[in-house]
Amino acid sequence: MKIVDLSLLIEVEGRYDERVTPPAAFYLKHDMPESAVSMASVFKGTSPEDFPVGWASESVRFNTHMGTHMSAPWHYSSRTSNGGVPKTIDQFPVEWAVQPAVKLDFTACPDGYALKVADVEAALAKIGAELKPLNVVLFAFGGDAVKPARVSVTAEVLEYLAAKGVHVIGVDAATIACDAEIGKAAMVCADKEFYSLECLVDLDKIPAKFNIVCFPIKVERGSAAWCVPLAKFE
Amino acid sequence: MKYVDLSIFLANNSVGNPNGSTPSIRYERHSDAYHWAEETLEMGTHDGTHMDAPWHFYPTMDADLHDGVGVPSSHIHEFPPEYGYGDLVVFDFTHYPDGHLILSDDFKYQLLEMNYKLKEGDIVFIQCGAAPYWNKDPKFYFHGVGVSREATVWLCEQGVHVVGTDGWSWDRPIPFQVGEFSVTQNKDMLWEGHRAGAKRGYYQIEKLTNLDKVPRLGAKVYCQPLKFKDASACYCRVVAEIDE
Repeated sequence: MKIVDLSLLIEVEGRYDERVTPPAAFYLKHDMPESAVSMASVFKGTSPEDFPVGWASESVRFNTHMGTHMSAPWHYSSRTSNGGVPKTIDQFPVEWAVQPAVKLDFTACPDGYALKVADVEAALAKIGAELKPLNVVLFAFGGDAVKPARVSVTAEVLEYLAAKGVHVIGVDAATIACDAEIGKAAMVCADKEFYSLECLVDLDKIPAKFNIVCFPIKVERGSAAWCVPLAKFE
Repeated sequence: MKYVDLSIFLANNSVGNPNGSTPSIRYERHSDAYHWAEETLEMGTHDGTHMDAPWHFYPTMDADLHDGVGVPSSHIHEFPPEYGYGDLVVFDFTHYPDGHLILSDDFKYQLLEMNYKLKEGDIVFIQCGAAPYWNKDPKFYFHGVGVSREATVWLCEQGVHVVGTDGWSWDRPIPFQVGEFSVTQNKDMLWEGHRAGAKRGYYQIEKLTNLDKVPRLGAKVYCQPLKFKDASACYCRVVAEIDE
């Protein structure tokens, strides 16, 4: 069994989608005087001298759309077309996270291309895959993982996937579609309950068919949460 | 397959951490000025259900494997993904009073009861007795049993790389440690379960939930943490998988 991690390392000095606040962190290290002070403040009744070596710990500020993450339908719209409330990330059904997955290769598409259902059907035929309910579909565009999508997962493609029972998609970009297509695509995500993995990396290191594990962190009523998607294959 | 979520929420107004600390979440809602929903969280890396790396415990690890001289401790981003899925073994220590110190004999006794031998890659979780108090009792972190250095090292020697507890800490609650320390003045027993990492490096999950909803043997568990560079810990979605 081979495992490929499809996530970006989270680091303060890392590159991020420029529309998102980058992470900030304070690193407490064992040899800082503050470390023993911190331990003594928690171990009430001790003093800093009781801890010749302290603990390491961090405090952070993380935006939910920073780095590799899963966006929930609620991210895309506050209301569905028929007035319902789209799901938040903590309502993601955990069994959707452990599923067979396919990678569709659209790296040859020109910038700004809007995918059609025929393109997706051709890509599926090329790898000999037939979509089943809850299969996870990743789109490889081959662009910069922290920049808006080079190619669009369009509303018509999402409607097609929804009809097949797909609820989780992923892209190697910071958005699922270009500016011209995102509005309509977002409404389908809200209506048809799509969770989207964004800022995926290393899609060139996995086969077209594999198994994915992609549990998001449980942020209460979040529009998204960070995720370390793992591709598993023989 | 049936899946059981063993993780608690990252949420505002969380109740049960020392000094009343809680994650702080600022919600940005859809509006004309703000098209998307998003959130910004300010918190510690040890908030919510999280996994500690050996770097949290001590600057060096694995002294037992290197003639008493440790090597630099691993950080959470160095967690090997293959450690994040394995056979789950759940030990029930809820019959012990708060503050009880768990020894390797306690694990061995329950293994005999289960007729099971730990093997390489098994993931060991304990029901420490604190779970019912999370998000209810501000003194949640005073509840439950804790695991000794001796028992932690013994688990590592059986091939276990990942352990977890439904309490605030793998160690005994702080008042019990400080109470003993005030008598013995033995600094080595403060935080001894964590400090076991200096002898044998291991990864540790804290603030699990729902351990009473999974079998003691026979389930598998997923527990890949976020990869936060050079950090002592990070958030982890822990989910058990039960073959029905």
